Amino acid sequence: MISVSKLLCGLDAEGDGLRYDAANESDTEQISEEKQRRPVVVWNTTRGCNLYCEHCYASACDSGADGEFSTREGKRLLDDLADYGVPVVLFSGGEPLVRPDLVELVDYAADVGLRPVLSTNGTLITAERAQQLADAGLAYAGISVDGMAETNDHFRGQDGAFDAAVRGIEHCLDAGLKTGLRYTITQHNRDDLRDIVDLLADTGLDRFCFYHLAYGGRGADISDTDLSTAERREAVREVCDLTRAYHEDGHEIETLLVGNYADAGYITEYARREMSEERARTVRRYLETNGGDPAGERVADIDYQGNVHLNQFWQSYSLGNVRDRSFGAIWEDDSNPLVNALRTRDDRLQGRCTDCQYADICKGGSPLRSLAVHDDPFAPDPQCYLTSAERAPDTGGLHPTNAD
Amino acid sequence: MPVEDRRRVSDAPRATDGSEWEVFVREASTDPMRHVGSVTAETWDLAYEQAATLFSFTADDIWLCPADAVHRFTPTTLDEAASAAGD
Ligand code: SF4
Repeated sequence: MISVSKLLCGLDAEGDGLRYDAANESDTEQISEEKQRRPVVVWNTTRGCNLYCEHCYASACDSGADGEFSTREGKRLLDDLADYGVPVVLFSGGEPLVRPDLVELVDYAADVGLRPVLSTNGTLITAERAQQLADAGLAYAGISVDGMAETNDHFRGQDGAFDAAVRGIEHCLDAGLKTGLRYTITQHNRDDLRDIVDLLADTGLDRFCFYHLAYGGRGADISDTDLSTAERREAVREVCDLTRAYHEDGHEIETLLVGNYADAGYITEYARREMSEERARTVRRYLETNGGDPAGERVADIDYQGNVHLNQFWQSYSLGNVRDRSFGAIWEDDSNPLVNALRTRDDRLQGRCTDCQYADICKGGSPLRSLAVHDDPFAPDPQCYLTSAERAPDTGGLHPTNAD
Repeated sequence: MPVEDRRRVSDAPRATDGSEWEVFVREASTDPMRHVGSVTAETWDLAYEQAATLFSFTADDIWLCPADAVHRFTPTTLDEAASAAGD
């Protein structure tokens, strides 16, 4: 997760010694002194969902799955995560609001010292439920909307889903909940990007997270709708441009890019081209700690049946199950060669990544996409969109390219 | 550990899109077989394909076992439906 607004509009001059990290979904401070030591944990509380989205990584459907956690098991799991020192638990699904005990679980998470945050399609958030969640200590609600009304409703498989999600956003804001948009960019909705920001900024929303498509679950089935290299450059550039335009108008929205660490290189190059060499140096320096795809390191996932995954999109492989042993024991088991290799993946870079000047802050991008496309998690991310001039260590990226 | 401290983990399903397969690898012929997690797949050959793409960089031997053929006994107390080990 890379905060475009922080990097392009929010950083002061060099030399303050702070470091940058933004692996989690919450609104926790994204400039921190220390490297994050424990992962943010995504918990898919249920497979059940009231929608049927084309890109769902959890392959959700209208019913829960056998083996989902009871309320009591959920609380035991939250105790386990708190004991291990997990900073943030992200309640996800399916659609977590179909669980009648969601408020109780959020409340419990806050009580045991976890920071509870929520990922939802927003359509089931009534004014009453928003207030209950706020009272329970929910720290953040991320609401998925994937385009303007027509695009979103087609994508989400239900007429009226857009209006219901916008109402959900308004209820969260009215309840005083920190709330943000989640938007997965594909060919279907890239043209709606600026309109959605304008529309939702008018409702009072001030946080916008743009996701690159992950190739996991149903997301892998629609990889043919993913952006081309040129389209991706254009979309990321638009996020950068609109962020700066809003800030110049005095409207300090927060914008983030998620799921593709080539963005780190792109934003550094953007800062150099559009702002100044000094800004580019500052941006790069802030990206140097905790860079790279967080799978297996700064983020973990526990699915609705207790299987632990390297991130929320990588559901086809599990490290172990929390009904067998504690999350911390599974996560720290250094006998797993794949996990060890992912945690030292700087040593395994291949192809274009080996001489990329941004390898230290990108680390080859998403291992899951590489696995899906190249059958090799250590191959270069097929979504990498930097030009050879931008990647070249010899130029230091100093020469503007014509690629935009 | 006293036998009675261990409970049998319930047979709750571990996958919905297919079956879960426990994966074991051996990195060199003199190494022990090592459990390295599980993959989800409809059939053993698809499970093997998945395990091979994940572990070929290090493994010589790969073994697969259907997860529901494995009975697990543990002192871990999360599973509400766990039963006494002898039941
Ligand atoms: S070449 Fe590799 S390391 Fe460099 S930005 Fe692209 S994916 Fe990342």
